[in-house]
Amino acid sequence: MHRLFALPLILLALLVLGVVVALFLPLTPAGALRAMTSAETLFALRLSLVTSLAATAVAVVLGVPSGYVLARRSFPGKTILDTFLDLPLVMTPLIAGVGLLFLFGRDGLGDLLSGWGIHVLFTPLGAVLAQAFIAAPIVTRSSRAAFESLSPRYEWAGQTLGLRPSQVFLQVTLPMARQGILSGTVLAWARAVGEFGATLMVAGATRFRTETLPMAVYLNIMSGEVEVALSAALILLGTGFALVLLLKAMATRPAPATERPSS
Amino acid sequence: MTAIALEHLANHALLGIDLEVEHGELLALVGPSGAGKSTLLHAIAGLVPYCGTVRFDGRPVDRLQPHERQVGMVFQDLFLFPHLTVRSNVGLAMKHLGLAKKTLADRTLDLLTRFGLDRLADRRPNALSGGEKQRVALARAVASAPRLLLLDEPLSSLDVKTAKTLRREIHCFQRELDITTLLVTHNLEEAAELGDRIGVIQDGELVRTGMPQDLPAAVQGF
Repeated sequence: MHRLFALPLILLALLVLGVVVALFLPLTPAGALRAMTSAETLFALRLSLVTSLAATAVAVVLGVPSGYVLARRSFPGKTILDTFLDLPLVMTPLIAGVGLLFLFGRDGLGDLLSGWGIHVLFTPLGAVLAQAFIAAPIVTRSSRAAFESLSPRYEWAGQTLGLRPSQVFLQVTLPMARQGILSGTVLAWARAVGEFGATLMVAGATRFRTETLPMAVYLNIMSGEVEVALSAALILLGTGFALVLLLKAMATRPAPATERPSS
Repeated sequence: MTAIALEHLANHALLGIDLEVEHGELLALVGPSGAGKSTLLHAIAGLVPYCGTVRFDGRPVDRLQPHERQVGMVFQDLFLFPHLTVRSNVGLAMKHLGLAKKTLADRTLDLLTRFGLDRLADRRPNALSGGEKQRVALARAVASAPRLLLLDEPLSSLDVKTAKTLRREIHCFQRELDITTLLVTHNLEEAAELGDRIGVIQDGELVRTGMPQDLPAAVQGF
């Protein structure tokens, strides 16, 4: 039985390995090094880091409180709202991007924001917005799960010690839920780094302006600069691998044991 | 004096609770499982909604949030904070008092010593025995000098020997600190030993109060 089931596992592993090797093969070490240190790749790497970190910060600021409310409060329409918030996870990023394009376009909020000097479309800010839109539900879901796994009676205990609700949240709830929230944050960051479809629609693909790593892959494949495209792809792969590895390391770290209510 | 007059609690069949506790008194509340004893304590602490009035020294506290009521509580399952050391669990209760760092540290250490926890100050709760955890919960509950101490089955999860030792300790510190206390227990021996008075709750109602020596007659039938 185990041997039979091992076959699909081996096939899957070979497929992933095949894709990685295929990305490496066209590159010579010297060519890869040259492409990875080129001004364009370095720009894309820097922009990807900046936009994905900013998007993850936005996702955490929006997602953690949302997850808390969903975990602790019951209200009419909660299931609908919850499903609605999950839409970006199941929505094709391209469609999400088109939606954001219209929302922040001239017929939407674009003119209003322009009046305040904020330009979203076809700017790095647009890339942050698109990545945050995709990443926020991941943080919301993981935060909600982390808060739900925590008995609200810990918060009661904090309140009877004289702590205000905000103090209870910061000193009791958040530290106790931090492992789940951190895992979600890392996953959201990984998703933001690799985001392409929505970013393409909202920020566009302009070299040395809105060129994140996925955009660098796209632009250079389209223009036949295979070395630069594959080098950017390998940086993305390496980043993704490191983040997933970090996630797994965090998941295997034991959380402090909590007491469950007996009644 | 603490006066509690509750008509009913949301989502709970707790009816007709009317009791008064003198300053420094320990009132033990006994009754069968599901009688509403724990829910009564949660209501007094302001943790669940209720209809009625809770007064401390004549002043109603019904509009106060739990953190404003100056009530200390030991929960049945303790709910010690696993991410904090014993010192921090106890010290957290004094943080909002606005004490200087040194005073806070000294007071925390005094309290830990009082409860025999000074050697365990830097341990996390999951590295403690049941009795030690219980002591931490008690120390934490009295750390901010509450006006009323609520003890919800504080010894129910302990072995007989540890429970007896802690019972003596609760008796001593409650007298020493002169702290008004409501103790919920299903253990009649515990209630008789610790209580200055006994209250019997049955089917959501306080059916009688009396002296510990009256307990056997009071609890007949459950």
